[in-house]
Amino acid sequence: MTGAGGIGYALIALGPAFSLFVTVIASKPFLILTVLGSAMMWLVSLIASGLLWRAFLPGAVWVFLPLLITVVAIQEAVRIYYWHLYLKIEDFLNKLATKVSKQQLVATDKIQIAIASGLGHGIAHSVFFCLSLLTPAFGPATYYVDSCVHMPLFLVAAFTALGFLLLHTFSMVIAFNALAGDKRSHQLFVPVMHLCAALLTLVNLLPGGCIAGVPLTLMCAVVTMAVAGKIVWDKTGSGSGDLNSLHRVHSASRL
Amino acid sequence: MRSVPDLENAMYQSLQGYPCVRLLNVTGELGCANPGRTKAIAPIQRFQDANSVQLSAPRTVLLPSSALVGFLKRLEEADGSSSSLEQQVAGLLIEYDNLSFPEVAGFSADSIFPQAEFAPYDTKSYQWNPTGSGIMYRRLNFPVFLLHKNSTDDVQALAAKNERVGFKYPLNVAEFNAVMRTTKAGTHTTESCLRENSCLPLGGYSVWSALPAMNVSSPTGKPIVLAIASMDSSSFFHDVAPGADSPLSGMLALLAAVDALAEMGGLETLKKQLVFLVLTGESFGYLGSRQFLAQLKSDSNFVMGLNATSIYQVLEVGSVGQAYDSTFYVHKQASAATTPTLQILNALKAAAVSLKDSTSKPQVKPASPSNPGIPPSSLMSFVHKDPTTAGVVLEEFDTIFKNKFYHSQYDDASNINVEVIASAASLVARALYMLASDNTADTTILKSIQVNVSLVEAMVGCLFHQEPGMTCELVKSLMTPSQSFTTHYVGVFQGEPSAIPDPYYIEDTSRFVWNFLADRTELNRKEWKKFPAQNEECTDACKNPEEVCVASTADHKGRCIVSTTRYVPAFSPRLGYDESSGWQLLPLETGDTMGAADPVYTESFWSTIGLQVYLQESSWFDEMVLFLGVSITAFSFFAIICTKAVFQKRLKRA
Repeated sequence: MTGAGGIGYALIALGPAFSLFVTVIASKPFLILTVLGSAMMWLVSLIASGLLWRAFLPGAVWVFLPLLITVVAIQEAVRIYYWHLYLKIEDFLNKLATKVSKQQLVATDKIQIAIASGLGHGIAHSVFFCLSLLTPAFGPATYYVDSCVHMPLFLVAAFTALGFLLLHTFSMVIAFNALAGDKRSHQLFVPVMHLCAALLTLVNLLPGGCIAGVPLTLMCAVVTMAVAGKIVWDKTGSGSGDLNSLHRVHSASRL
Repeated sequence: MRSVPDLENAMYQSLQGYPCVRLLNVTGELGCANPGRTKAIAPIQRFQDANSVQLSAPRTVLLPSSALVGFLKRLEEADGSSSSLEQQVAGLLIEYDNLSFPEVAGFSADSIFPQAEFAPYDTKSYQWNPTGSGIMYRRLNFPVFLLHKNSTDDVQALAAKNERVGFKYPLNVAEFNAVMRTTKAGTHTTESCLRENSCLPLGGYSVWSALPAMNVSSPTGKPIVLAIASMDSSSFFHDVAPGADSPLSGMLALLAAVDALAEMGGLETLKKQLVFLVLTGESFGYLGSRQFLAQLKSDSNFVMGLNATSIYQVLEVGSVGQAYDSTFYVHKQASAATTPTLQILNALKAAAVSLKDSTSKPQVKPASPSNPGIPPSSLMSFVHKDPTTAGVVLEEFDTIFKNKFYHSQYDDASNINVEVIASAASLVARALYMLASDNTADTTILKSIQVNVSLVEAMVGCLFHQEPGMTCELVKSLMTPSQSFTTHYVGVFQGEPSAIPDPYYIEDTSRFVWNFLADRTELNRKEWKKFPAQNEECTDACKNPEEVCVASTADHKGRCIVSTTRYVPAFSPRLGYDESSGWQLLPLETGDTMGAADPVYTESFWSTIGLQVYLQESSWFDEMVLFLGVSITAFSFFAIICTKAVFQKRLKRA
């Protein structure tokens, strides 16, 4: 639906990612690399899922159920693997810092790395599930699927991508925190929320379902953001330890 | 749907239809085109008939074909409400129909007296074609398409969907691409568009052939009997101009007559020479006949062997496919020289008498003396040149056209009768033999001239049906057509009007006629047929300049034969061609009445002509989406900065 529409959809799907990138990530090269690396890992999990399910698609509607469950499982497994990789890197970076007499990683650094990792996942998701679909949106025509007469396909895709972008970004913050602190409930929160959000998208398949499906996806994202926010709030609270372990004192941090 | 390209294909649907294109003449424009340089896009709305069309906003109007004439008439009315109506018409789509609307009334896109300005008499208001609407000559500032059958159903469904939602966006729109080069170049008459190279003149190649073959370098001087027919027609939508009755039934009759005469021996002993001429471009200013006469006057290479003074009599075979009462009418101009013209009528009568034992029993009658003169025909060009020309036009009608679908898409195979055409062919064949023998031939010889009805049937299948179309056996044995279903609109003159036209530039119909006539009028055909291997093989030219290469196709080589069959270019004598500057309008010569009346039609160039439909949102929806996207980005920007500030403060405080 013309250039204006196309750009609008792209901004809905990736605008917040762009804002996050510019405000948090762009100034630190290591974070940029983290975003790229994390995106790469997510892509690998997507390829694995694709290889597994290629033979069964296109198929009946009920195929989506086992498909979503296995794909989420694969992504969560990759997240755990990623966490272990991160631990190794964190260790390496800390050793390097000691060698050059600089400060080791503090909590804010770790949160930023978590955000960057989550953002990598989220951007990769948006690009593959929404941006590629948007090419026809730049033309003069629009498209509505039979089961959703309220919103064009592109709008549904853009909002869903926005929801998952926020979900992935803040899930990683929660996950890093949970896996480091070993709190069971938090550890379970991320995969459960991911699975719920994924399964709730199936609501869109019902006639007129997108009226409910899209807000549900966005709600999952909001809940995840809230939980992540609470975790970070608690972590940076007055009773949570030595100031120096929380944030960097000098502004010239070359990490 | 499995991929993004699949999605894109599902969004856009290309429609099949026949466009009406932009033509120009010396005074201005006619036909249809997009109003500017851009595509015309508007939601589709269907109306039952011309009078119910009420437009509150720009729309693509979908009408049944019965409403086309009425709707264009409404637009023509100059009062305020109608002219604003025209502004709201973004494009017009006409539904396909099997002629289920008043079949009795008929429909003709041409005027009530087609090409009246060329008539060699003053009664220009005579109604030869009472069903004529004249819409062919209208200038419309929006694109018009005639839809194919399948596309009609699709578009009707889309229009119904639009109605159901009460024309609230998103709506199904039609996108027309009929942007004409002349619009882009700002050239609005023939003279300016030829100069700016944004158009081409209408024209093609006529074919003439002599039976028996003549020695063109040293002609015998025998008086010539010239038999004429035409092979081009017209309609509002040039891609569907079958012209089955008018004028191609005449051409079929003439070709079948040549086929019958070719079987007769001893033609070289007859007193007169037979020459056949199949003209093109007649529907657009008698281009073929006028150019033929101009070539004769300048004694060009195209007509070597012919000479204006040697043409003694002219027999034109007009529309003969609907003479259901088996009566054919002989039309002549009052100024025609009495004796030779009477000889033609007598020859035709003798031919009819010789056929009284046949199943068709054709009759020949002179046309009513109350007619103002000859009907619209190529003979008019001859009469203008010389009012005493001894010529007649053989037609199926007496005082008004029998053909209710003259120059329309409905003048197709269902509008003619094969037996009637075969009967006309017999008349013509025998009459021509009589004339060649100076009306001395006896009935026995006449009765031996037999027309092959299955040949006529085969030609009808080739020229007017989708199946087999031009890929039929008859055509394929003689030439390879460029497309299987042709229209008989003359088209633009391609290439240069030089001596030997490139077959690539010659229309399929002309090429077929040339090969057919060359094959039939081959010298000593019967003898050569016994020894086919004796002919030299060829692809386009023969070593011997007296010979021509016939029946060269993609599947097999042609053979070199001696035949006097030649192409003659057909284009307006008001135009001249020059190597460096191309086509140009020549100054009018004094006394050239036909030239003065000639509109000199040209057709605009265009890059693509297309029609597609898709679902479109209103422009404010797109703007809202952009606004939403920008807002979300801006809001997230703000939110992050605020959050950062809050956490910064929290950390400092701690």
